[in-house]
Amino acid sequence: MTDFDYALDLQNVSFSWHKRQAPVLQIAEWRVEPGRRIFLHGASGSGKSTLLSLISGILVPASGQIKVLGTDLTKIGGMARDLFRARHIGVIFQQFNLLPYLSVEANINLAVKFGKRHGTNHNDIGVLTQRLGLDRSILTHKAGQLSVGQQQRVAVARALINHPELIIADEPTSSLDSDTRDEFMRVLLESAALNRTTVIFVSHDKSLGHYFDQEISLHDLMQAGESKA
Amino acid sequence: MMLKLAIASLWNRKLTVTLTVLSIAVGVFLLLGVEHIRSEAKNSFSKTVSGVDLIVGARTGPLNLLLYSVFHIGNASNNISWQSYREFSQKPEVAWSIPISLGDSHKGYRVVGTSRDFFEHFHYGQKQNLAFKSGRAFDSVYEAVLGAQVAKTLDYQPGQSITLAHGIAKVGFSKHDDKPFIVTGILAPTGTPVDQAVYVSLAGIEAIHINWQGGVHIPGRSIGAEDALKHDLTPKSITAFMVGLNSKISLFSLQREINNYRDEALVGIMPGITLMELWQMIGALENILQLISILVLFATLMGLSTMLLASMKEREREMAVLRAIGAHAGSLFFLIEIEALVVTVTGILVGSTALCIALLTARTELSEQYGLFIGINPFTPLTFQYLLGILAVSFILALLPSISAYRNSLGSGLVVRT
Ligand SMILES: Nc1ncnc2c1ncn2[C@@H]1O[C@H](COP(=O)(O)OP(=O)(O)OP(=O)(O)O)[C@@H](O)[C@H]1O
Ligand SMILES: [Mg+2]
Repeated sequence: MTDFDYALDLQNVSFSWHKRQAPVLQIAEWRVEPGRRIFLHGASGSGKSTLLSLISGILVPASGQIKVLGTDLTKIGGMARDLFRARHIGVIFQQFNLLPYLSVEANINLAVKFGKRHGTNHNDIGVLTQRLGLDRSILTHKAGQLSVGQQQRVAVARALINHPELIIADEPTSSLDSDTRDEFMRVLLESAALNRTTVIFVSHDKSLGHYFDQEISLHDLMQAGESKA
Repeated sequence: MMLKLAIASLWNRKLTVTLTVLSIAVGVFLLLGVEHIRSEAKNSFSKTVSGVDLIVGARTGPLNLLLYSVFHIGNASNNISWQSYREFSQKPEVAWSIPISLGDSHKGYRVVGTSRDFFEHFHYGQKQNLAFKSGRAFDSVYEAVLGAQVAKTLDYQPGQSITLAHGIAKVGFSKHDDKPFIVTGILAPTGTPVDQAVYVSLAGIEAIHINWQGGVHIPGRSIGAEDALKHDLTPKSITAFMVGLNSKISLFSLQREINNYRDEALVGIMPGITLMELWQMIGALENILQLISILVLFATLMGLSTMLLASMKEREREMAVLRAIGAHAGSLFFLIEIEALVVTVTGILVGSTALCIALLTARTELSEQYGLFIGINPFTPLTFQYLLGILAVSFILALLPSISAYRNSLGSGLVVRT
């Protein structure tokens, strides 16, 4: 899985929610080198979340190619896309990343099971949560009982547990206060740097831009495509 | 993994899930209960009497005669005279006859006045003979034989002295306590109304009624137990009698003869045929009950599907999380189906357990009040077919929410729109 030049390679991607409507998303070309940390911003409703869904293989484009880590997601079947996501992409949402009725460990374990990473054990989960600044005792707590800040860190732990090459985060800090937000950013990016994981981070909060290698607006992304096309 | 997840998710919605489980349990309870009682009742009814060719009593509906003579339910409107009994029992085509005289009781159990022929010729089930568990048949006037259940419930042994009460109420207010009976034997259990009665000789019945007239104790005319023996204890009338023939060929002609008897209005019934009539009557009712219970169960399974479907909206986030960490849309389909089956199986377990408990508690009541002998194990190969059917229907009805989960998860992105 290391023989790819780009972590992300989108060509002529077009997507619309409804067949007859104009596409919400049109990207002629977007390439991201492995290990890069990208800050993606844009107006509300511009299609950032939709783009992340395409990259994670939950949605498929009407046309075009979406190569993630060298694999063209549009060329493989639904099951293969799901397994690919489970093993190679860590996903973090704005909120409600966890199943509230499961323990923290069970939540993380679920990702292990879907990723079919049989080698991962209880201790790995403990080590990872500790590294993210969480107490090990938290593993047995119900996820729903944690504070939002704690939940978001557990979400990072879950996103990292299968050692993904790509992390996509959709406004993961918007429900955190400024202190927990900075702590969250530090933890996320330090962990990503450890394995040279590529990060695509979506947020409205432009003050977070300085954490990243590159800031790009979705508008520019689509424009760039158009001017090139 | 999916099973664990399904159970955890259901547990998270305990309240609605519990209600749904309970409603399914009620449906299962009804369906299995009706089915069980139906087959057991049929079984129990058809095995109460066997090898008896005719039952003869005062003219009344055949069903009524069968019910009071065999099942000890209800009362005879009229007695038949001893002469009539003598006449028919001595006919050459008659192999044996059993006289029956009803009307007294002991602690709520019917007392049957009869002859020793009863123990020899009465059959039940597959032509099974009555047997003594302990002791022997009555010999003299003040001796009694107990049905198995009577002895068990009242904890009597041979040698026990009992008094009979006039009438059949549990607390008979006029007692024949001046003439106690000694228990000489206890019958082995038969699982028929035989177990629920006390048997004494016809002479015994006659003796305790010497100083009685029309059901009332005539004051001032007390005759002691010893003195009574000096009287002629040949009964003047009996309630009914059972007949066994030498050859079935004479069955219809004898029945016709009985039904056309000039001296007295009699009716002779063939117990097998009357049982079948009884069965048809009850059977029609039970078919309706069964249909109702099937519909009830179907409605509860629809309720399950509705519950799952209604929860889909609030569970969109849950589904989105599962999708994000790599669940297939198909896995979500199975998750919902598994949830439906877990709820159904739990409902089945709760319902069947409740049924077993109910049968266990209602058993004595049913046998004592209605002469119905119901086994406590409601499970037969047929029940398992029913249960499989329930699971299949549950699976099919749960397709709706399951497919909805599948389609939603394919049609929407990572983020749930609020
Ligand atoms: N599940 C869906 N079905 C139909 N249309 C959708 C769906 N999700 C999003 N859309 C539409 O697609 C467009 C882009 O939405 P998207 O959520 O990708 O924007 P966004 O940039 O993430 O916005 P925000 O910053 O508010 O999160 C919007 O017009 C939205 O209405
Ligand atoms: Mg969004």
